Formats: sequence, C-alpha cells, structure tokens
Amino acid sequence: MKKFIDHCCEKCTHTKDNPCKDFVKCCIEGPVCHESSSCSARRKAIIDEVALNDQFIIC
Amino acid sequence: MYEKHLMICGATGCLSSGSNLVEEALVEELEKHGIRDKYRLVMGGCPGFCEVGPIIVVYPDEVFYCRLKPKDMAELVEKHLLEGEIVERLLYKGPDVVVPARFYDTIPFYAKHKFNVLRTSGIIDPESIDEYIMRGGYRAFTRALSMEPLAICEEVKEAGLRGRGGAGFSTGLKWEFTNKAPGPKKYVVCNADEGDPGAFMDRSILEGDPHAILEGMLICGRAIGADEGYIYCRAEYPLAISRLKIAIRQAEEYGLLGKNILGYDFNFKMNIKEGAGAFVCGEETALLGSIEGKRGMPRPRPPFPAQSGLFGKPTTINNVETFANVPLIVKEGGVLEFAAIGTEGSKGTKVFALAGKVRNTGLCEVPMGITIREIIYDVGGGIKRGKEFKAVQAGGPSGGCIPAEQIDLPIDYDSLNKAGAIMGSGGLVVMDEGTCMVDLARYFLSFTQKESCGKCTPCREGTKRMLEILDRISEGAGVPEDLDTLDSLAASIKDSSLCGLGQTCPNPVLSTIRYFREEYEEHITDKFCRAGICKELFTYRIDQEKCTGCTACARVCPVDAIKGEKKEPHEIEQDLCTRCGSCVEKCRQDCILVVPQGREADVSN
Amino acid sequence: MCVEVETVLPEIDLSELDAIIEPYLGRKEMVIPVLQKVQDHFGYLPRPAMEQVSRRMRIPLSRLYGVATFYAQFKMKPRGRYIIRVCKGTACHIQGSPKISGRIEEILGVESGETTDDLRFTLEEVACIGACALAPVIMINDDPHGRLSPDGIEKILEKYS
Repeated sequence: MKKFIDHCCEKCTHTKDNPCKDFVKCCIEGPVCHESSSCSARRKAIIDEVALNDQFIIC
Repeated sequence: MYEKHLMICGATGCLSSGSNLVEEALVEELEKHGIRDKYRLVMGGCPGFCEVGPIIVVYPDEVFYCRLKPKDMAELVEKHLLEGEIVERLLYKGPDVVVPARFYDTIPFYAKHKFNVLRTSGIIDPESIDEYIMRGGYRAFTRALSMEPLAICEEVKEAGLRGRGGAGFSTGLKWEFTNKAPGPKKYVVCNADEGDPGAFMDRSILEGDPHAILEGMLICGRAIGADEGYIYCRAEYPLAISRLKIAIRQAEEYGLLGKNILGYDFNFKMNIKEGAGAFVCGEETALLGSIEGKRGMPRPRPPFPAQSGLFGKPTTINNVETFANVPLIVKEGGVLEFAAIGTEGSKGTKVFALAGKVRNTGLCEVPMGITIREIIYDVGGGIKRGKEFKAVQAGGPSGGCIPAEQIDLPIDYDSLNKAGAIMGSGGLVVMDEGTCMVDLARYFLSFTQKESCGKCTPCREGTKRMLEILDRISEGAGVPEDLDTLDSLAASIKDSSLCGLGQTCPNPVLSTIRYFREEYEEHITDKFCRAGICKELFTYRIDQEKCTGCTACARVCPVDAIKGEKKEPHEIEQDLCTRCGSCVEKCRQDCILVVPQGREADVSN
Repeated sequence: MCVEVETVLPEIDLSELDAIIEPYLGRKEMVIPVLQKVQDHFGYLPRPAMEQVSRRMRIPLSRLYGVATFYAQFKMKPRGRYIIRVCKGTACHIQGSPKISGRIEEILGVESGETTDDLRFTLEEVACIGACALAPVIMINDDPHGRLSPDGIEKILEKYS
C-alpha cells in the first residue's frame, strides 16, 4: 500500500467504479470494515512518511 | 521515514526571488553528502511572507530560514542537518525583533495570523491528495453527501459566510436560490480570474491547496444539485492551473469526482477554463460569457445566474477563497467554530495581500474586524524607510482609500463600505507620503477605463471623460470646477452602469477627493505635486546643507543633469533633469527635495 | 481595438493547423481554447490561420475576430523573441513601474505594445503578475525580475540577445 487508493488487503474493494461510503474516514482511521492491525499499520506507514509533526493529522 | 522535511516555498513570489535555484543548490549539497534519501524536499505552497523570500521551513523543528541564496545551502546542510545546530545567520532578522526569530511563535509578521483558509498551505505537498486527506480533507464533503442539500445551504448561511470576491453577499443564500431554481441541469463555477492589481491571495490558495477548492465546489454541487463545475482561472497563473489539473486527476482516480461518488447518487464533472486576459471577466456574468466562448461582456441582471447562468442554466458562482472556506464550515462542528471568529456581520477570517510601502509585504490571514493599525504596524512592521503612513487602498480598482486618520477602523464588510472602500478581494496597498493621491486615482481609472468592455455608455464614455480631467489636473491644467464635474460624473456612472465594474470604478476617485481634497486643490491652484510624482508639477532640488557630495546621485543620473565636485554639495541642472527619480532612490541622506516649479529656492518640507 | 491588415504576409505553414482544431470540431464554446492553441503554435494569430479556424469550426470570421480582439492575450501581429511584460499592478505602480517602463521604452525605442525591428523584444503591459512583494516587477518571457530600479534595466536587457 503506497497510496490511500491502494487496497490494504483483499477485503477492501473501494475503486472509483465500486465506491465505499467510508473511504475518506478509512484512509486515516481505517480499516473501517474489518479489523486488522497489519492493515492499519499499512495506512500508518503512508502517514508517517509525510507527517511533519503530531498536529499534522486532522480527523 | 524521513529525518526531516524541508518545505521550500514554490509559489510565484518566492520563485521570482529565486527559490528554484535555492532548491537545486540544496539537492546538490545533499547529494554531495550522500544524504539525499534521509530528507524530504517539497516545493510547497506559500507561507505568506513574500518579502523575505526565498523561504525554507525545516520540520519537525519548525525553523524558518529566509532570504536564502544558493550559496547558503552548504551551511544549512552541514550545520543544521548534520550537526543539528540552527544557522542563526539565516533566521528572520528585522527591527521588530531583538534576536533572530525562529518561526510562527516569534516572528511578529505571524503574530496576528489566524490560519483557516491557509491552514495547510506550505505544510503539505499541493500535488498530493493523500496529504490533503491527512489534513482532514474530503471529510466535510463525505458528510455533505449524507445531508439534505438544503441543510447544507442552511449551515453555510448560519455560519455567516459572505462572498470573499467582492460585494460580500451571503454564500448560503446564493446556494439556496440556485437550489430552488427549477431545472435538472445546474452548474457550479469557481471564479479564479483574480484580476485586481495588487491582489494575489487566490493564486496562493490555488497553488498551495488546490484540493480545498475542489472540495468546496463539490459541497456546493451537492447543495444546489449541480453535476458539473467550471474553474475559470487566469492564464497568467500557469502554476495554479497545472496544480488544479493534477488535483482533478487525483480526485478522479480516488473516486471523489465522477459517477456515483462514494456510493451516493451524486455525479460531478470538473472542467478548467483558462482566461484570456480581460479584467471584466471577473464580473460574474461576463465570466459566464467567456466560458461559453463569447466576448466576455456582462449581461443585465436579473435574471441572476442563480436563475439563468451558464448556458442558460441555474448557476452558482463563488470565488476561490469563498470555496476554500466551505469545507471548514461543513465539517463536523464547523459552523460554530467558523462563526466564533470575526465580527457580528463579518464572520471568519480574510486573507489580505499586503503590498506597497510597507516593510513586510506578503499574504496574511487575519480575523475579520482587525484594525488597519494592527495590519500595517503589527503584521506589516510599519512603513518602509521610516516614512509617514498616508493611506491604504482597500479593494483594488473597485475600492477606495482609507486615510491615516482612520487607522483604527476595523476591517470588515460594513465598516469598509461606510468608509467608502470595499472588502473586494482583499488587496491592501499601503501608501506613504511619496504617493500622490491624484496620480493614484488616475492610475486606477486608467486601468478600469482600459478594461471597460464598452457595452454600456456610462462606463465606456464616463470613465474616459473622468480620466481626461484627471490627466489635465496632473499636468497642471486643472481648473477649480473640475472637482465638481468629477463628482457628478462619478455619481452618474455609479447609478447607471450595467455591471459591478462600472458601478464601482469611480470609487478610487471619490474616496481620494473625499479624504485628500486639499491635495487635488494644490495640483489645481498651486500647480504643485508635493509627493513628487506628477512630473510637470515639481522640480528636484538638492539640500545644500545636507548633501555630502558622495556622487551617488550624479553617477546614476541617466541624463548627466547633476553636477558637483566630490565631497562638495551637488546641484541639479533643471533644463536637463527629466525627473526620472533615479537620484532620489540612490541618495542615502534624503537630501533631494521636491519643490514647486519656478520656486527652486523654497524648501517644501 | 481595430484589426490591422498585415501589409506583408509572411509565409505561414498551415499544415499542422487541422490537427489543432480537430478535437474541438462542433464545440463552438471552445473557441477561446482553440485560439489559445493556435497562438501557442504560431506565436500570434495570422489571418490565414483565422480563416481556416473559421471555416473548420463554422464560426463567422467576424465573430472570431470579435472574440480574439476582446481579450488582451491574443495578438494579431508577430512578436519578438523575448516578450517583456511590465507589471502595471498597484503595488508596482506606487513603487515606480512607470519609471521602469519609461526607461525600457527609451532603451528599445519602442512603445508598449510594439516590437523592435529586429524582432528581438516586444514590450507589453500586464495587469498584475501577482509578485507584488517584489515590486516593481517585469517578466522577460518566463523569467521574473523584481525590485527593479531604472538604472539597472540596461544590464538586464543585455542578457537577452
């Protein structure tokens, strides 16, 4: 997972043609539809790459 | 993970002072040390303080380096990045600080800022949608999708958002009108044809945070029931256009633009139109004509665009900064947060472009209701070269000047209107004793006169006649009746012009006459321009007591009109002098005086 | 603004013009983008090109010129290799841009809107390039030059030959 649009695992199905209502929330707080620490770590890795400081994330 | 992030201002202001060369030098230095991978470099949005560009901010340390040159990069890399020591030499220094200042907490320019619209500019990579989402982006839009369209309009109304582009009409109300207009096809249009000379806040928002504009337009689309949007952007802003295009592509890839967005019954297509250089296209109906491929000429209103706009369909038009405010309001709890800032009638913040004879030029976002004094002396750091503050022009060619006596006037829609100026897009041009108010009025009028589209007579002919009178006054051929004629012409033009351009263009003339009548009279009766601007109405004289004979003026004079021996007081040969002003710029002793013609012996001040 | 008829018609190679117009056929509202692309290609809007655009897009030539002459961006005559744009914004004006343009006119011997005989420079005015903090500013092609004074102009122009 390099970008938020990439799928964290096969459970995520969001694409522009098959959209998920929770997509935006899922980017930061996800995964929303299932529980998986490795999936949330994948999202965290994207954030850690660019977050400048503790106040950077707004949700 | 990166050790540090280096945000280099890549906006037009800093690019003009060479930030791209600074970046190249920085990359070269990092590569020389083999540490390129450890640091993230972003050519980002504008931190606002254009005066001291080029700027680099180092995160997470939050150290603000300014006035950078390519050759400074070696020291920055070796000292700060490798040894962890701040390079004091490159910090902000100025008469308003005792010790070199680090960033927001200590630089006086930022002390009064309230970051809302510019919250993310300069912090994120404007070409990354992921970073926009991390900053809370597209959450307000997601929420809007689950709301009733009219409830969105209601929230925007309740927050008290007023249009940031000109007249200050209630944004929520405008949306509601378009929502209630009948018809299946509606449009959202973003007016990014920022044409007021002296205003560049919209450009900074577009360049620094393009997704915020898309999100604001999407929310508007949901609220009014539109499925298509146009962004009409000046062709003079190529960087803004390219960043918008990237943002649109990303939003499409993420399913935030397109069909059945996020699984809701909502489609939206976004288009960009480049303007072709016509100021009048900033007027909403002219802008619509231009998108339709016609000459950009205003249409009579009513019908308003909310009833019959683009291609005859109901249309909402807002400007860039207005749309950038929308996600802040529609997010969870946003209405109260937004309405808590500002004054009774003017909520939220306003971004001002501070320019002219003020020490700190640049962009500032401040709460509505801040006084002119605070902007000029706290944010702006006072007048350049210690001169006297004379007036500030608010609202560009449609606005008016506010004189030094009203320095404690709060800046909000209603106070500015009462003073004879307007909020307009938020350009604030500060003037000192060296600005001639007749020339200023003439300058604005010659601008609007040139940009008049010619459709209606009061604007086309009226401005021409007014300009002729002002030309005459500044050439020394004015007669006392001219002021009354200007007044009555101005009143007719205001009353009878078709569009906003015509209705507001006499404002600079009216407000300068209102506050600086004696300066007009001096031009007319004494044939003297005390500011030393109107070339026929003054001469230069060198103060023989003060001149040290440094020869700086003589060397710079393009016509060799300045004579004198080294270390002896110099003199100006009046027959040769073209009053180009080059010598005044160079003189360090301020000993070149402006005196009335034919009275060279007098000392004017 | 009146449209001047070119006295000497320079050789105009129209072979690529159709490819430029092609994507916009049948979309009359796209006339401004088409003219922008045509000008990008030729550097200005030559009359033969305008005639072809008019025929292909089925827009009367008079209307086409009506649109083209309305917008400051469109030029009806060939321009110099270097376009000097003097910013006439408020901030630049009160920081002395009239003195800057005066000096340039003096050096080049042309007035605003004109091109030097050797097609080296075209002098133009622009409403505001948005670099107000660096006033007075000029742009020469894509290079901005800020915080100018009249005596520094000659040196800057020398760099462009």
